[in-house]
Amino acid sequence: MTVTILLLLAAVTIVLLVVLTRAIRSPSSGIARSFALVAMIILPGVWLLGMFGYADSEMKKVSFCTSCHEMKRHGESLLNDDHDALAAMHYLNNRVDQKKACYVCHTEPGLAGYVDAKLRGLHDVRVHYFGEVPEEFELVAPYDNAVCLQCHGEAKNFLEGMGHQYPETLIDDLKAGEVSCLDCHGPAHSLEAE
Amino acid sequence: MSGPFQLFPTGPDAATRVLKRGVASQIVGILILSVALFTKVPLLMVVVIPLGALLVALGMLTWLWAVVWADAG
Repeated sequence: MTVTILLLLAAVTIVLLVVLTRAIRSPSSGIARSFALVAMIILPGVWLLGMFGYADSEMKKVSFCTSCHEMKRHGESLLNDDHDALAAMHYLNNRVDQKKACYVCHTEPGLAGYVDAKLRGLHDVRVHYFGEVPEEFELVAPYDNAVCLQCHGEAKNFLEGMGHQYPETLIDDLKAGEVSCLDCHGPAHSLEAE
Repeated sequence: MSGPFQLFPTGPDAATRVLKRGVASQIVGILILSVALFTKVPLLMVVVIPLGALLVALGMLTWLWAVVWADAG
């Protein structure tokens, strides 16, 4: 539906732009200015916003992340029915938006996290096409507990769960990032099962 | 625009010429953006989206320049 609307809007915009090229001798008249305003500013502006929104949502999808063969094993690991594998348990039990699972779990909260994810994506695309892809991947930085806590941080089973009561400072340590959630709740992906 | 140099030519003819180039830039921008986004090839999406957006934005700037500055000048 979105694609159809965007294609139609693109077609209408291009037709108006072609008409504008052929019809306008000078943008001095009021009608000509208004026509140029609609054809060159309003329609392309609306179309660009729509396309940015569409592109952004497409680039957050698991299918986009796994379209590079390097990510195939990680994508397939989401379907492993392995109760120890964190990613698969989140994905299979719908604890995370299944369409955007990679993005949700690998993007830190807030605008800075969004920008960081985009920059890391740019780096990955560069390495995929022009660099040397390592056989084994490592996270560029330790996994940030803030990603887990954006969903679990206020949850009762996180705040009051027995496993989080000892030592008494554990919850504070987790929030401060001094202890990783993955120390106890790993591995994230069960790649060995491939 | 007075002085020893006329950095940007102004007047209706110049405005029309620049507008036409702006329109061409927008058409190319919309076409390549459409191809990139609907094929969903990662490299195209990453490289072409900023390029296409720049071309469309350039067209918008030419409108601004042509109707606000050049045509009025």
